[in-house]
Amino acid sequence: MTIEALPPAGPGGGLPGTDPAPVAASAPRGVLRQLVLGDRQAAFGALVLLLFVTLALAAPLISPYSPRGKVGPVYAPPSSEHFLGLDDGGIDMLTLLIWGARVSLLVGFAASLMAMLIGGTVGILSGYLGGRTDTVLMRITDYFLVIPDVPLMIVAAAIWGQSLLNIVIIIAVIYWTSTARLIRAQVKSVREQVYVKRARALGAGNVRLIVKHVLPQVTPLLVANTVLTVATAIFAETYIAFLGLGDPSQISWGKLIQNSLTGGAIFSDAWWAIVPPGVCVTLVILACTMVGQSMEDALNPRLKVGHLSVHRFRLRRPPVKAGAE
Amino acid sequence: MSTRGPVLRVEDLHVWFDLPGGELHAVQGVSFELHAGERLGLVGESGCGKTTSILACIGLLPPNASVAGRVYLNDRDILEGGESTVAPHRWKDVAMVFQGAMNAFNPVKRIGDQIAEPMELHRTAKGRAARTRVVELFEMVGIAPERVDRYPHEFSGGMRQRAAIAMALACNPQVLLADEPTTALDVMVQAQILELLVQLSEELGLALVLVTHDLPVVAQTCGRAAVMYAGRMVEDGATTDLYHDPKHPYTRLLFSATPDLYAQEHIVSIPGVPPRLDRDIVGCPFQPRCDRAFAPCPTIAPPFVTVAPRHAAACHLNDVALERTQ
Amino acid sequence: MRGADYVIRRTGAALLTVFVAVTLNFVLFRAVPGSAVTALRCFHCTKQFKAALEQELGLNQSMWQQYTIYLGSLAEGDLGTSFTDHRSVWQNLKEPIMNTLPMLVIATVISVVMGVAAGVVSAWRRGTRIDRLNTWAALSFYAMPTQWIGLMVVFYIALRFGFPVAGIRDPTLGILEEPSTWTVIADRLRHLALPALTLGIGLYGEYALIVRSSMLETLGEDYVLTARAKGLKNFNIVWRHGLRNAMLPLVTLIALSFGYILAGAIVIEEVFSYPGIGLAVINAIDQRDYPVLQGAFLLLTFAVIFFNFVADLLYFKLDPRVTA
Repeated sequence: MTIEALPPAGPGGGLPGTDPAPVAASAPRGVLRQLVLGDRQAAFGALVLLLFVTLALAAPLISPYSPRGKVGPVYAPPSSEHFLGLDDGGIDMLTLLIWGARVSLLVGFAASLMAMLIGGTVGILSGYLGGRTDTVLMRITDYFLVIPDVPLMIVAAAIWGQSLLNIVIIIAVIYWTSTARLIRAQVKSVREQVYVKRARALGAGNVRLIVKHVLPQVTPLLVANTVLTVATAIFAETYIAFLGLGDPSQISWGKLIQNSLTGGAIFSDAWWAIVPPGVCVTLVILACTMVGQSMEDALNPRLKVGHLSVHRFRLRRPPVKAGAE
Repeated sequence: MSTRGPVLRVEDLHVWFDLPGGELHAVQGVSFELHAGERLGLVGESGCGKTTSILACIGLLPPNASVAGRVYLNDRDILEGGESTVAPHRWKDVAMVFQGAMNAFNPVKRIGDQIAEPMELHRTAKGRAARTRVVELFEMVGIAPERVDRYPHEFSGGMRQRAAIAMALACNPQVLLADEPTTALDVMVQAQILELLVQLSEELGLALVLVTHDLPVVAQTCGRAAVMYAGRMVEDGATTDLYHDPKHPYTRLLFSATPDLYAQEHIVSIPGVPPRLDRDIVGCPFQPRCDRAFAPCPTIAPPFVTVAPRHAAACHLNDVALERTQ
Repeated sequence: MRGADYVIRRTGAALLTVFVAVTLNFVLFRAVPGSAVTALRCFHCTKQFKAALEQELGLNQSMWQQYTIYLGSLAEGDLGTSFTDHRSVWQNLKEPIMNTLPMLVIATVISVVMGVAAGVVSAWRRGTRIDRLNTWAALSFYAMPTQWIGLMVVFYIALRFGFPVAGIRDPTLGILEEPSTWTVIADRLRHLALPALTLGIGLYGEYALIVRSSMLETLGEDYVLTARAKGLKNFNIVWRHGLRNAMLPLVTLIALSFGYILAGAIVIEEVFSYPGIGLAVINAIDQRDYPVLQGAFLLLTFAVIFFNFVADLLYFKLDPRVTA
């Protein structure tokens, strides 16, 4: 997909006399490859994400019990039948975690996709059209930045009701701003590129220019940013659910965390009800952050030679003169 | 000290960089010496190792670098013990002026404080005395003393470079290493800065190494020039000798490739590219681009030898015996 | 003068933002499906009572009239009256805010100190084991939901080491005798310690990561090479030339993430039943007490605007290059 169609990354700086070839080669095509093979962090993140997505998709097939059926005593400890014990309603924790992944990931992906659409559109319009449109859109974005995001989310969820769709919309409406800013900056620089200017001089229309030239160049960054937003959105969902504002009919990791507080898991000494949902959230957010960050770094290399290090240059013996005389 | 020996003597300096793709032999045996008050221009195309050479002289290399060779400051090898022996001499004996385009100054600190910093560090002056010295230095380089408390962004490019020179002189160094000090400055300012450097080196008896890719700059400023190519010294001698009687084809081509002052168009530089430094070079490194290469050039590396009084070069053309066999 | 001009501009911008926030706040709460009163949950809410309440709140007037009334009463410092206990909203929120404030301050100090220390050490020892350890720790804490950290702290620390897990003061205190000031303070600190610590830990990760990358960027600047050439030792380079420049992004980040800090505070107050602004908000939601909710949200927005304003001024002070 479009990850292949990257703009050539910044100049391959480096040491005097360095052959620029290896640096240049890695920039246009290699981002994806570099992610999968070169960057261990990104590979780890992608693997974790893949694992959880598979779990979520296959929930009805693989979950050992029903997510709503009482299968044993309240807070029964882990056993061979129930690897992670039972919760405050006597429901299998492992099953709940697998089903919880569905809602948490759905909210995460749906909200960030929507945020990407809003933010991407605003960013492209703002950066591409410039002028008054830019000023107005950026002013709006600025205001969104000073609104305390989570309190707004809480208030909005409280006012507009607690359906899953509402929560997705609320999260998206709050988190599109950083995407918009990032994309705007990128679009501005793309617009100044020679061939885009030339295409415009040749009479290409705005829509055509955006679709043919701007979009392919900002898409990779947009994707990277969206992956990062997934983390934020999942986080937000846990907040909303934890405060009892989530969709009461849905099982999500946030709700499981809430259950462990309201159900008194703490005083029942039921670690299996407290620890696992948080670990799942942490792992997924860690994974999203790593993948997104690595993608952004690969797209936007800010590598500089550090001038300070704990290590020093080494001394060695001069080479033996060969073939001189 | 007053033995009249060279202030700075570099012998067979090598620098390697460990890079992901392999090892890069950036400096391959550079030697030169410098007396008090002498000005040496170190010339060559970018990437030939001139900056790395002078950075190596005061150990300012990244951790992936390794160094071999000797750097004598007043007959004492300061590179002998690595970082620990070279560090005390930084700025106190050997100071640097960096490229004009570089942010040599920290943008959030006052210029005066940044100039006083090495004085306090090397205990040459402190407090009020340091401040007096800063004012004195400002006058020396031609900046109004009331500007000491200004921030770098309030200075023009030329002024910043003057301030950088003032900073270099803070601890009365014996050697000044200037790395492309006038690059990125406009022609007028460039001339003023060079004039200032000449004047200071004469007044203070400073030994000056001027690294540049710009031959006219060397011609204006330095009595002596050393030409580097592919990490090696190819010619070293009086600037006038190099200009009128170059003993290395590279020097000759370099001079003829230099545009006249005020010429608008850049004259085409020497065709071809320098060899890669991450693999061994067999024979003369310049041979593929040389217009006078002959039999021994591709296989035998020419030694760097004296060809005339105070004039050395590394080219087989100077070897009478070899030329005869041609 | 550079300073005065800047302060005036920033103040103007902040005031404008306040106005927008107020308006947004008005719109947000009028956009409630039905009227705010319909959803009200209270014991003695008869139809007549609700109608009277609508009358009293002016909900039967036109939007524009309501807006002017709202602005007018806000200008007098009147945030409205609570649905549930009929005290003024400010009366309802004053104490919770005063309870939350020390927690926020302590948590912010903890997180900034930890974040800066970890970030600086990491950047300084880039690529070493301590850097990797630091980065992983920061990333992990950054990825943990704050309320979950809170639960873990309660479960693994508070219960095992006898820290209070609810409230802000020991209810038995003062039953037998009037406690000394010192006892009261000590008791307060015991109740404050874990919530503040939790919030601090929840925030430090992000700061550590930001400080690390900003420090690394700074250490690649030319003036760091100059500093080395001047003979400065590593410690002095970091201390004199790295830190201040690397701190600049952090100032903005802390201000911008103030909403996030508040969010953390809200869920932590829920975990520890700490009677702060977060718990007040949660109670207001439970009771559908819109005036209190609206008031709390407005105050929180003001707080964010205020902190952004302070951050702007601080940035201005730290970076001489900023002009307008």
